[in-house]
Amino acid sequence: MATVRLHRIGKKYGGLEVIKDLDLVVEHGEFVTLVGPSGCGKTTTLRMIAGLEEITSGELYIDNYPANQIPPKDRGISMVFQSYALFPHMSVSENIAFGLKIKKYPRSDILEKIDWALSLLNLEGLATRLPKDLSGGQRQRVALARALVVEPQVLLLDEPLSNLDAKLRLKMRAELKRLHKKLGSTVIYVTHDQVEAMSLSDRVAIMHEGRLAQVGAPLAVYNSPHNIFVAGFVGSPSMNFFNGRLVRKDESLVIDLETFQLVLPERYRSKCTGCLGRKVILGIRPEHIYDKRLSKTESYLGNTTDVVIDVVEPLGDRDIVEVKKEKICFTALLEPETNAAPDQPMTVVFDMTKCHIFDMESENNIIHSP
Amino acid sequence: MKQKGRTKINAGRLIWFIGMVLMILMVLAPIFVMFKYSISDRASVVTGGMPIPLWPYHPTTEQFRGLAAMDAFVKSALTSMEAALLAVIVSLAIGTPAAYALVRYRFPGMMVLATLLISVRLFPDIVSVVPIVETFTKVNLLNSVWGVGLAHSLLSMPYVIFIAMGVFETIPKDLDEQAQILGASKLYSFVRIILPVALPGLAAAAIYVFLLSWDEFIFAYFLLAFGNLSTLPVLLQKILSWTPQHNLLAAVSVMLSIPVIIFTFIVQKYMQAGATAGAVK
Amino acid sequence: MELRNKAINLIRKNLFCIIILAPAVLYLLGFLLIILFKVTALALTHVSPEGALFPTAFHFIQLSKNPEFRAALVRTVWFTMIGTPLELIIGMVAAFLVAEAFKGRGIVRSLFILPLAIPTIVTAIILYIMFDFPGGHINDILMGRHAFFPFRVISYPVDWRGSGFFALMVSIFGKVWRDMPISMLIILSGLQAISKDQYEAAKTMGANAWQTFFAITLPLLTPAMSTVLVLRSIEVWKEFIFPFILAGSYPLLATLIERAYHEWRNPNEACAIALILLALIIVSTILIFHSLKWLRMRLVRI
Repeated sequence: MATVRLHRIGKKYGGLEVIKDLDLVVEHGEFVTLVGPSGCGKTTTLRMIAGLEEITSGELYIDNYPANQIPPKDRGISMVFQSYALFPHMSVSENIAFGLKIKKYPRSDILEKIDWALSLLNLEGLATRLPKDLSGGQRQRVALARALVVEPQVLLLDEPLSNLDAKLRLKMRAELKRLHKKLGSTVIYVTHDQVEAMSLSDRVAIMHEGRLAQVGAPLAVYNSPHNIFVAGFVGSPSMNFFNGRLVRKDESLVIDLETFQLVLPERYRSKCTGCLGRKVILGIRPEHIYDKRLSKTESYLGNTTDVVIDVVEPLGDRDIVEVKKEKICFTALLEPETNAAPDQPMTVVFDMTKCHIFDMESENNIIHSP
Repeated sequence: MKQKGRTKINAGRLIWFIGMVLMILMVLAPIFVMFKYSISDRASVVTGGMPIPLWPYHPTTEQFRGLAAMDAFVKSALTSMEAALLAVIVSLAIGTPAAYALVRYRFPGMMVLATLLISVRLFPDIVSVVPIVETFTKVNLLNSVWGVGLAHSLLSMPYVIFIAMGVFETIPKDLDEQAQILGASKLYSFVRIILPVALPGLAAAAIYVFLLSWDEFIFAYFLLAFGNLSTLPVLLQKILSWTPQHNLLAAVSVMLSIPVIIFTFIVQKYMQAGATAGAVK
Repeated sequence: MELRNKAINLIRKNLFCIIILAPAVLYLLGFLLIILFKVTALALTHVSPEGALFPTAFHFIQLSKNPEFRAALVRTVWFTMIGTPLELIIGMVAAFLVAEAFKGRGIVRSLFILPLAIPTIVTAIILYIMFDFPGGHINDILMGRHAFFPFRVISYPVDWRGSGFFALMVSIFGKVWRDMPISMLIILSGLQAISKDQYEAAKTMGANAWQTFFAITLPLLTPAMSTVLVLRSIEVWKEFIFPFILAGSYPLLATLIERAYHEWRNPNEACAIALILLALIIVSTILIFHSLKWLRMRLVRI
């Protein structure tokens, strides 16, 4: 097990800069996920850590050794590819033993380790099968077994669950988490699915256009996104954004959205006074908007507004409700007891203690600045 | 209106049908004639002014039995086989790794190099045959199976590179990288991972080269014309110049064609790729 | 120094690539260079009792005076000008016959590929037998000696190999027969590249079969057709086996090379002819390529 440290890592293809000044430390035994939309550079970053892609600038340290020039096989890493890359002409046990054979382990050790890996991943009885005779989930586990059996210092996973169907993906997600708990290995995981990232990781590293947008524990990223991109990327359904202006009204600060106004809680006042009179973007998650009839607290400072329901998507435990207020549309996550139906009027309450305010120009969060 | 359209379609189908029958007849006639002559008795070939029968009076296998006892035929068949195997070994041993490099290493200019190597096959064989024979004479490769095999490997190498490139392109790069991460050297992963996976496609390439050498006449003829060694195509030409005995010629032809016909249909897909190589731009 | 280190680094990093690529490159391009060097050197050398002369145009001058060479040149041009379009036409006919789905299409397609599976030398020998004189199948049939074709097209048997015209026609027939599958496959792949939507669009606009063919199929097929013409013309120019077996007394340039080498025992002259043939092939390929490009531009504009 080891730490991985990326120091001002950069990658250029010809003149095209795809990764810019990336700084990231993955601690010993930590599960860190690189997440972002496709094309953000997460897979390239992973391949640079693996040594499959040359590092254009900056330094990579694995276990505190500079690793830029070390070939992949000597980096002490293992990698599971999105396609699993199982060797199609080798049986499951031959696939698992491949790395051990090359490293010239004695035969008895190899057999022992194969058994260990097979039982760890519930693959007993499949040892002599060829990859083509396995199901998708089994292939995925074989790829994992092959990566784990060489006892890597760092395990790299490139979208390992993306080829599985939704149900199996959930199951493997739990399995991965259990595996990490059991083995305590350092894991760097790449995915484009923010739910997967949030549910698996100790920390998530959100990437956007070749840069790190924010690094932090899943809840920290959810509760205090540093900028609009992270705020919009994390959470499902996505955060609502409103264009507005910060103004003073009586004693308190108010965000003027033209059609209605929302009052900021006392504790944000000091951070926001600097932006008074400026254009800002208000962000509030659908789950922090309630039906006024059902809300029990009176502490929302009258942050209510009348809206008309547009579309309702029932999920069972919650309804995703899209509502309209004149030109403004936004989404709320409401309890089914609301009995929301299209074209009905209702009154919603905003929990402004959970709101975010972003500077229109820098797109940074004014309330939760880094 | 409707009636008119219908008669038109029928006329079209009639033309199509006639064309189809004529084309099938045209394709099959020479092949039929070959088989017919090979089982003809002497009276069906030398008819003394009577028209030659479309089916032999007394079908016989005597020509084939004669071939089995004919030293020249047996020896030529063996020579053909040796030359073809030599061509297969040389062109695959050299061409396959090159095709792998051309697919996996995408330097600027690599595609130009690949196109150049594959287009060598467009160089006219009849133009290169005299300089090759002159060169081979100097290094004692005239009248030898080695000379023929090497010449054939030269002819088939562009096809091997073309077919093998197609095969390697279907193997995902992930396999190479996975092997590399698990500690395999590039050579090890090529030999232990990529080659076994590519094997079926490469077998087709081998068959293609074998057939190309088995069929080839020009180089074999120039290299063996005045020696006592022959490949089967050269033997056929030699028999023609000694005694143009039709049923014997046909029997040798059948023996020469049968392996080609069988293998062509086994590797039809790849044969077509080779035959139309360079057709896709 | 920096640059040298960089170069060494680059080579070391890609050593495997270089090692596996080098043999094929050296083998193929090396032989190509040897061939080009040797053929040029031989063609430009004249060995006489007084010694060797290099470089000299002696052989080219000798050839230009040689009536046999001139006749072969003329024959080769005719052979190519008839053979190449014929290869295209027959290939297209075969392709169109099997383009549409019908019962037994797979079998017919395999049948049409059969000529590719018959060695060229065998095809030539079979035609030698079929077009024999006086008593071959073709003569028998044309003289109406079989019940199924009782029409007397000719009164006397034709000595096919004894006439320059017929010998070359039979050779062309052999060449076209043997190469038909290749042209067919290229045209077929061209046909498959035309999407169904385009036909259906034409149909909805009320085009009939002929209009569809001339307005859609033919223009969209021109790339495949030019591929056939360019590749096949090279093959027809250099054809050796059919004229060698079937038109021995009426050599083309390719067969004249063999005669110069074996009968005249003159490798230098053989190489001179080879160079002329090579030049003809290159010039004609460029010509065909450019005229087709021009033609396609015109077609598209219309």
